[in-house]
Amino acid sequence: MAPPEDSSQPRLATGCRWGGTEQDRMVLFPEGAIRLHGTGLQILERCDGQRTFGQMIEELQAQFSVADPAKIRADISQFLEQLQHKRIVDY
Amino acid sequence: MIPNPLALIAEITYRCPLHCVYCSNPLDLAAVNSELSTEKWIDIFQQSGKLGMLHAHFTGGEPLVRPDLVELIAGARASGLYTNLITSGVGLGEARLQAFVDAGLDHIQISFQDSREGAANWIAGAKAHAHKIELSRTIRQHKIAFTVNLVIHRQNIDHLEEMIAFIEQLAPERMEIAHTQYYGWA
Repeated sequence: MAPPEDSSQPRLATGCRWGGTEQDRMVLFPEGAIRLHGTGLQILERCDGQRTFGQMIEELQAQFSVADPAKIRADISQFLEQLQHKRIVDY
Repeated sequence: MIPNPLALIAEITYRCPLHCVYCSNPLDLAAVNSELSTEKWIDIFQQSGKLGMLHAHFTGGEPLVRPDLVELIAGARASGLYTNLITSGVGLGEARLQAFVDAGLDHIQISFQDSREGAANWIAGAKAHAHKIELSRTIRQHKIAFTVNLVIHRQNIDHLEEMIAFIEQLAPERMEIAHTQYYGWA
């Protein structure tokens, strides 16, 4: 499994979808679910198959401007790679 | 406080057209008039959703024998549940699968009895193997999750790698290897 490229368009994998409630956002998939909040939620909400990974990084670097931009990129890349490994995200 | 359960296993029927040798489905409970009605199941799904449950698994017996299965899927989905259909696939054609997908089916799980047609049909007591392969191709045309469940026991465990390779080329997202429950023989 490789990390996403700037031109990748991350999206929820086949058979995965949003669920839960407004207050308690979840992604549901076969035999499981993950609860999203904070930055995880910010990232996964942007995995709409339209935005590129590059655009996602820019948006989140702007939103979390006190943090080191390189760390933001590295953290998001690793997060998406983990989710791809679990078949929750495709890119 | 006991945390709420997260998954509902809905055994909507105990009827089944197959006769798999290893099955522990309680046929003596299979009287149609003892099954819960559509309305009762919808109420159960609504209660489950309110409890914070996340998944509904449709199983049995063979859930396809319920003519109201499409309403049940829609009802579970409307209650916020992720819907999974656990089935042999026998009796499921393209049109009915499309209706399930349109009703909000999220995930389907098809059982396979072997990689070899003769052995698979012998275990199931029905000529189902070729249909399951065809159904797998149809499922891949839809955007739902697809799991193949391989049932193993001493009649097929000697060629497990061959069966895994066979299942891989059907291209499911997931594979489950289920060993039979030991009622008499395995």
